[in-house]
Amino acid sequence: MHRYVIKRILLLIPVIIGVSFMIYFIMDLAPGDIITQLVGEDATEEQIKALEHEYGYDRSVFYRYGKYMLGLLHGDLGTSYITKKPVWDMYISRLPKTFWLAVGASVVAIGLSIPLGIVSAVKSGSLVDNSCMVLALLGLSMPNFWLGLLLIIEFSLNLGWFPSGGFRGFSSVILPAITIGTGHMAVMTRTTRSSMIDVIRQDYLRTARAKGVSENKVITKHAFRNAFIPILTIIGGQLCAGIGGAVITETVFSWPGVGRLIIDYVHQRDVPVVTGAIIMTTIITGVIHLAVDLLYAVVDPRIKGKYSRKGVKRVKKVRKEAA
Amino acid sequence: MKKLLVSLICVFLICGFVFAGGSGEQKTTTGEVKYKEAVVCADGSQITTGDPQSINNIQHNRLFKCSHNTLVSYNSAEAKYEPELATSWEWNADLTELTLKLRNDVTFQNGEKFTANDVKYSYERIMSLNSTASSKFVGVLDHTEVIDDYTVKLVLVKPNVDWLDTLALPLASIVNQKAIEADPLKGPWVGTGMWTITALEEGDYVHMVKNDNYWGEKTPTRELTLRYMGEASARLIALQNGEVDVCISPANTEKGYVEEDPNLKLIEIPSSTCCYFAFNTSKGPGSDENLRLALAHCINYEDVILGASSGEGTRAISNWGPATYGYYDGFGDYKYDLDLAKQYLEKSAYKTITISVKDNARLRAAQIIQANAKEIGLTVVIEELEAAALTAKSAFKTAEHESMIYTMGWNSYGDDASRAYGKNSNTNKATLSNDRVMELLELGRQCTDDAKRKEYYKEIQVLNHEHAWYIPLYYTELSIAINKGVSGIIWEGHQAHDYSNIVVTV
Amino acid sequence: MARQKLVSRQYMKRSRSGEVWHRLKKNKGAMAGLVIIALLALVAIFADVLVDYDTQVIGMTLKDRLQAPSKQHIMGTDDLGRDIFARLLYGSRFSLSVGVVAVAIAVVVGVILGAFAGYYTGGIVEDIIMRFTDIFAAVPNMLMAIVIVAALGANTLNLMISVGVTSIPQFVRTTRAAVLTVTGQEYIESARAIGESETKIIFKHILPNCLSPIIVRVTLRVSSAIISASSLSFLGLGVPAPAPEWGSMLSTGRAYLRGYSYMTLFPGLAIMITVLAFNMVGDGLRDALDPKLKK
Repeated sequence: MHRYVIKRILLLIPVIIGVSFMIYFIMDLAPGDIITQLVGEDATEEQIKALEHEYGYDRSVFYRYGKYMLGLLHGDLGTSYITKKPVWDMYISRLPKTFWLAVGASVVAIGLSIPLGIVSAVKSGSLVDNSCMVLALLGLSMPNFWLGLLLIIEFSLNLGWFPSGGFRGFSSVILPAITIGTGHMAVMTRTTRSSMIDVIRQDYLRTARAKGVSENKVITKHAFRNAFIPILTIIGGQLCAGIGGAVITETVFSWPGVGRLIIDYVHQRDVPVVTGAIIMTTIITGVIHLAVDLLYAVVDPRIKGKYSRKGVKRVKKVRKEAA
Repeated sequence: MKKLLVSLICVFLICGFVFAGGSGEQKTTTGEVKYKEAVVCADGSQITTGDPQSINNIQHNRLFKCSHNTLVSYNSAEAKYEPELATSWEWNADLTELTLKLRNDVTFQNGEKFTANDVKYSYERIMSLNSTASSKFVGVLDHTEVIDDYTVKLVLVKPNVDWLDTLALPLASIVNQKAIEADPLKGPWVGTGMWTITALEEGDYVHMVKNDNYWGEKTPTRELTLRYMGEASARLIALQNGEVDVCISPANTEKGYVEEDPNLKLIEIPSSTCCYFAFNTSKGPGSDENLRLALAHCINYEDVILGASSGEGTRAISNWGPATYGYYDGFGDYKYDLDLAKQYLEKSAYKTITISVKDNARLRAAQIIQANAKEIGLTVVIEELEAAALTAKSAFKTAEHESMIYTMGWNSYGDDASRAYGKNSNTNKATLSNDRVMELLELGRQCTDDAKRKEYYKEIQVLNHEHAWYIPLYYTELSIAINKGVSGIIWEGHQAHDYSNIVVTV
Repeated sequence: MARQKLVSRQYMKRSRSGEVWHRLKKNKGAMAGLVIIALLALVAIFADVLVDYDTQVIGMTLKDRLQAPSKQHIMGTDDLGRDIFARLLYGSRFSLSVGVVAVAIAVVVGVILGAFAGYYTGGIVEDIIMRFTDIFAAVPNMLMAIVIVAALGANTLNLMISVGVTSIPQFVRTTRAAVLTVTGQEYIESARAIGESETKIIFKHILPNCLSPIIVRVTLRVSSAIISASSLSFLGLGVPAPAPEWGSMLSTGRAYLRGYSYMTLFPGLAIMITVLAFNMVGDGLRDALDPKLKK
């Protein structure tokens, strides 16, 4: 099992190198460089030269990237050109805020989708099923910034229930969480529905019913438990997406999260901040994916075998045969 | 499993609640009137640093006016320089040396005493930083001499009439050497101002508490927060909800709600921000005077104001700031005359021009100009760029734009014109390097005779009107929505308002 | 014998698509979605006939700005006095084409890469392709799109490219998974046995049998591409003005949300309905193609 974990973590390394290379080069070669952002309106030639030297802009982009990666090797995510702060500090101060938002969004999504999905599955094919699915789709089909602003007007201005933006305690999480969570609903409801349908038709439920277990209990206990793995995957995926930051919602709600950190500094061409923050996102995303995969083993012991050495070998063998 | 998950989530949420905490309202009482202890001001631009010498823009200048002091300050209401950390000053005969006497009762927020050495250190630091702020000093200030603890002499490279104005800018704030050497990141936060910066979360807020050892008058307010709220609608709602006390620039379309609300007040001040059309005169279609004049006469200026800023603006005749030294508009405006415009266009070899723009108001203005130009057969292509890309594209050295719409916030001093007309200035969006204009700017910089100096600046504006390098469009109207109880703010046309004496009655 | 098998396979396929269509027809939501998409496509194709671009779509009458819906302007006018209905009709062209072209880019690149990765499984080709996919998938979609548009500059083509590129990993993975299931089957072996070239096997025999998951993904992806494009407009990185793309109409209208909500309502509804339609068709197709859900 832990061989598997180590292997997965090692596999992250090439991904991190690739991501850093891609983002660093795109950002560095984008029109509008940092020197123009930093120098004044009437900077002298010497000032520009000095700055170019300071940030390595008198050398090639490979030199700058190499220098950055050398730092990364020592655990240094770089220093912001604009704020002169370490990127790590900037990222870490944003992470908790993004984390709460991601969790809040998942809670909203789970709370709404799982009941919808179950009802949909139980009444599969009926009008109820169709309306549940349309309902689930509504959140997805509304652009987030529109929904967010409408929510602010209704619940913050007209009703005065929640603050209009910023990260200020529990109540400030609710509106942005709804904005993002309803967007996640469609996928989650769909998954719940189809995996429930899968499970409902299986024999052991018939057995359970035959044994006289009440229909409610059949659905909530037996069926749902077994339908949970695909749903777990979706939750994991959405948490990952959330950790990367919800740029739009964060902008609407003045939410000082990771997404806004990245986009603000994309606009200012602060290459180390953007690269560093995206590298961190990649790492955290990778770890969450791994955690979700490991959770499978907890939920479904059958899967555990796959992670053992034997299991991996078996999978490889099957693959080879297929080839 | 489900139970585990649910309980986990509950734990998370409870932690979040405890972690983020709630904030209680507290009040201080002075005599009969009650004042709010903690005041919050919201703005749509982000503050990224607490180092006054590293940056020079509106939102940061508002912060530094609270946290730091300069030697002199400029009182825009009475149009005169006033003592701040300096008590008096004196020029030598040829305007190359300025000697200032300093206050002897000032301490920094970290307890250090303020002396002439701090001035020397601060100004040398500005010159060495290579920041947006340092270009104001480099090439202007030669060196700083400490005469005694409370006297300092500034020696300039060449005469500069507007030097006092540079000294009054927040970028010339006095910082503390010991603090900076102890902590290069947070050290520059330490100033002599009324407010001590305690926390700065870039892209979120700056929190300040009152400096109890402040040398000047103090306010009853205890805490001051400058909060970033990007969306204009959300910012105004925050004000209406009582989450903030000041909302800078509510959306033009939503000003009505401020007027309707009995708890709010709308402050409207004449702005020195001019929105103008700038041609790249160094190459391409913008170098053709006929095309420039054709465009100048085909723009429907009223429509531009209406469309771009919901009618909240006044037509600009000259592209100078209306309150800027040397402003002149005796030549009158460009008449809206399609026949005349067509005649100019016929003489021009170009029939197409690209406008580069970034944000909403300028984008709307460009769309109207595009429609206007179509009527005389001139094709206007709109190119929407990101701020960084546009800055780089239109910088003096690159100058790859054909034309653009730009807004410049004018300061009050005459030499501010060098930004728009001077060689190598990145705000010189017309990429002008006209010899006569350069000469006039230099003459203006060194001239102490008021009438003569105004004459120089007049000539620049007349030249601009004749050649239409810049087509002035409109002055934006500044509006700020505030809680009715707010007072003590000094409002400025260039938007770097002084919050330090803010009080909110409840 | 091999040939015979191929023929019978093709016959089977036809009957299968007929069966899928039969099942899809019974799904009312999917049919409604299909009708809406067809209508939208018609509007987009004939937009030139319905409205005049120069006078109605970008031509402005400032004195008529911000009018509420009336007989003259059934959806009102925007902040520059342009008829919202006319812009909405014409805007279908921009919004649909952004969605469709972006996904087309992703499909072409993603399916080819995915097919090779799936066919040459276990080899270096698969490793390279899948590692690249991992790298692209590791960066959140929206951030990736923002970085790309910022680098290339904001215009319609770059918008399509950026949204397209961010969708590639999904198509690579979907295709690879589908190809893996097909590759092992007998008729592929027989195609190999009669000495057909590998490229021909991939494109003629394998891909046509992997189409169903790809089609489902395409319909769903078009809708999210439309949403992504509108989000980029909100950040000022969308289709440049004065083009009436729905996302940019919605995003410019947000300053008028409180007083003139119709400026956002109609483009917002247009986006919602389109996205909903594509999703319902996608869901319907998925159900119809999924033999497990057969009743």
